[in-house]
Amino acid sequence: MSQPYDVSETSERSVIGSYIRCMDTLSVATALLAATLLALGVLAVVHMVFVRYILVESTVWQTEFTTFAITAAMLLGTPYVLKTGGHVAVTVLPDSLRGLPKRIMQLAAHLVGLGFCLALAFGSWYYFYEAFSMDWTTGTAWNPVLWPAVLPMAIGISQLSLQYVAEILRGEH
Amino acid sequence: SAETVLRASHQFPGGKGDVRDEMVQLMAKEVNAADVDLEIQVYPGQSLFKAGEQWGALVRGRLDMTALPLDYASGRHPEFSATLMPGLVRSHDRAQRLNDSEFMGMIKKVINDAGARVLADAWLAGGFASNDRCITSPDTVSGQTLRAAGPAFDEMLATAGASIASMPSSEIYTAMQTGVLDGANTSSGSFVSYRIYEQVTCLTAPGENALWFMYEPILISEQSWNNLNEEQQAALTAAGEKAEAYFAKEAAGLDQKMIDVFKENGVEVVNMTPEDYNAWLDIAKKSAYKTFAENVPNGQALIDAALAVE
Amino acid sequence: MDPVTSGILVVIALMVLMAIGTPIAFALGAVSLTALVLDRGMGELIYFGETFFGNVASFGFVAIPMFILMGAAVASSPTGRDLYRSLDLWMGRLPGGLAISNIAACSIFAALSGSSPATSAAIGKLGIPEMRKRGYPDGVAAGCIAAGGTLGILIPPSVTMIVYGISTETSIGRLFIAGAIPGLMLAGLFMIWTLIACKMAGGYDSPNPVAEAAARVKENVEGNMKALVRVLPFLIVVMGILFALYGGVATPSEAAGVGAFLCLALAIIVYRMWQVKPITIIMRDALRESVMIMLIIATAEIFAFALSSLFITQTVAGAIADLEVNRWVLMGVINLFLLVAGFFLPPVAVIVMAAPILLPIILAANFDPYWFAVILTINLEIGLITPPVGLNLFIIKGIAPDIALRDILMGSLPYALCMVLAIVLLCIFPGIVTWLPDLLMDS
Ligand code: NA
Ligand code: NA
Repeated sequence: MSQPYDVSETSERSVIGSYIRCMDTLSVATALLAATLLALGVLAVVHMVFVRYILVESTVWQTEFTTFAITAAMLLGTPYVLKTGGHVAVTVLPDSLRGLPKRIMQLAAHLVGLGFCLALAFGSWYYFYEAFSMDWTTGTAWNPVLWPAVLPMAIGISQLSLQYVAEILRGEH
Repeated sequence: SAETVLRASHQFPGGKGDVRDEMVQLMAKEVNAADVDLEIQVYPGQSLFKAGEQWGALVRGRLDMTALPLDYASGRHPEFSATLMPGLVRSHDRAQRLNDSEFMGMIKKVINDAGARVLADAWLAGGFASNDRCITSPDTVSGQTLRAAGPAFDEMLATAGASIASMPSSEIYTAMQTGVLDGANTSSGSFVSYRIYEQVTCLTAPGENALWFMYEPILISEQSWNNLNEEQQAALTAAGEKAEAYFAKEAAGLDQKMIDVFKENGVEVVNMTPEDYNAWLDIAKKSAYKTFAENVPNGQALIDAALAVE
Repeated sequence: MDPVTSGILVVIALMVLMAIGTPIAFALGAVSLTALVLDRGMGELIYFGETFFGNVASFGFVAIPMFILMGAAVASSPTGRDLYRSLDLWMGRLPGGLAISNIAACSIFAALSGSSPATSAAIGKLGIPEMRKRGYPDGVAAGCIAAGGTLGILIPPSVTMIVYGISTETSIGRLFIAGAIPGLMLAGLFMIWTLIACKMAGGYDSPNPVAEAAARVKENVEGNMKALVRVLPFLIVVMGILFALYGGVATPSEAAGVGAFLCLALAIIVYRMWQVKPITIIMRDALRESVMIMLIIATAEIFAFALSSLFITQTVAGAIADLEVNRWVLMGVINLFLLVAGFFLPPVAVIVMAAPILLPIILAANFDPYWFAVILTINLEIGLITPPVGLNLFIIKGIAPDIALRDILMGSLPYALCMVLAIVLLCIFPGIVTWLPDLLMDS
């Protein structure tokens, strides 16, 4: 009688386990991308300073590139920071509780966080869709197309939402 | 208080005499006096939306009104670059004639199609300042590092042999102080409010042959407009006309104020001659205008329409 | 709904969400987005991506991750250890000398880093075990590192001063200089208290037998001089960066970018950290801290936008301006507000949310915005070492999990009182703040 139940639970557990492992890996991957973009942003500033102050020549693209690269790095880094518990929270009250009340409170907090991330992920993809479909540019001297700057936000926040689900599952099992 | 509240946002300092803030405040006062159950709530100095986000918010009805340098939206409507294009306007008198021309008809069609309408026109003039040598004819910029206001100016100045450094106008002062910049190109108002006169030896005032003009109209969201009744729309239109008349009266005064302040601080003040202006126009046609015509579907038509105005 | 009611509801909702343990950034974002959608409709949700992106993507804010990267490069190298050893040699024989060395090391590291938790972490990793080994009470060991670390945002460069400068459109270079002398003064106050605490506890450095001390000196002189020489290039780079910034030669983002690049290069060259692992650690630490801070800045910006959109900011600022109380009563109330906000929120969040409300009031009451920036910063430093959200306390807890939270708190409390004393001193003698920027920048 308990045999089929056990089997399904095991497979359920292994599905959840592999989901969590998969998300952890993806979050590390986006973090690697983020670190690369942060480094590229720094290099672009160094290049700009060199060209502007040493060569005394025109600088056109560096300011904007740095802004977009580092912004992308920050948003792509959010899932990794969630995975490693780096987003600061006030846990005095839940820590002082035990058992069911504690679990309910933690779940409520997680759902609020997840809700926000999903809303932002939706908004990000919508912004990306608009920028992409209407060929928006930034309107500056360099005037690059906008969507490559928005895409990392959409990816980063989507992965943040997926990682959030993984964190909730990790807490439950 | 009134039933209908319109939220007006702009990036300029509030209550400090900035002409664009004054225009919006004047409209708020006029609409209030008209007693049509309508109120304009002003959010100055980017206290609601950031400068670059106002256009997007306006056309979606998230924001009701704004006083906006239209070029800020040129990433979404490349046609708007024509409103910060070197040499297209030339003088305040001509700006007045331009307002009712086919050129502005084309620009306003883009504005309307996007979901906004113009309540008051305003063209702000500007000039050049340098601590190296006076900027008049194109050969005077060669070898100078300049900060230009807008991509089209960047391109024209670079073609004339200048080095370009891009930075917000708030940084011009320190950049000149430390020698990063030799000169700058911005509006008369910014030249005064950022105390650029302390750092330069020569000012090129707008005069009758100005290269730098920027269109900064007062706009209302089409959605917000449609939600108003006829009385309210009439009151708003009347207020817009008053604001426009107020601006037309003040515009030349802004330039004169700049000239006075710079002269008081011992800065030489010059104007461009018609020959200088035409020489710049030739360079612009080969650089900024050409790029604009290539990248914007009706770009050449826009430039031709603007240049056709007497 | 009138702005006062909606304001109260927003604050209550935020406090409830934070109390149940929602990460601060997400609590700020969730409350703001809900308020915006309820007040203005679904458009606020549909275009939320654009609003959010506009709040993060600014060339001013990108200075913050780069300054944090600069600090991470210095921290991961053995600079902390080197600094620490040199200082220990020079001060080791004073009563409580080791604790004082730790505060001095924190002050110097604060000049290399823009962040307080990073400063606590860099010095605390060595300082806390060493102090405990030599018999210092746990409270003093934890407290002096927690408090010393807070100097990271007062002594330039400072992440929070950058946020203040952007939020209030004041000069970041001038803000940085304004923090220098108050930072040193505060370090001095911390040292004085440390001496008193050590005397009271009686259990510090059991004086080394003379011979042992002499041997230690002999053994250390050489090593310490070498250590100092290795720290020097970092100090020179950072000083150079800061001077470029003060002189207005470079914008904060340019200074931060070049600083991060040079410090990374030095870490790799001077400390030979060219393997993959140390570089990964630098990037990981920089990313973790800057992402956390930038996400809080971004959501705090949304919160500020929601407050303005609901006309709460304007209503509160107008009401306070109409009070017409004595300006020092006003300053007292503002300090109390900042102190309480600092208990719950990290410094950057408080600045982004409160600056639009407070700055007009400060200016109307004729206070200097640079002086106020320092007062505000010290208030927020107190918040770093008080529960429930004390970023530096989390760091100490991470370094020495076996010290009871109660001991950490009791050890930190007197340092918080030092900060209150510093605020009082700066109110009486505002020249402590304004003298140096006036001297350097108004010539
Ligand atoms: Na610092
Ligand atoms: Na706190």
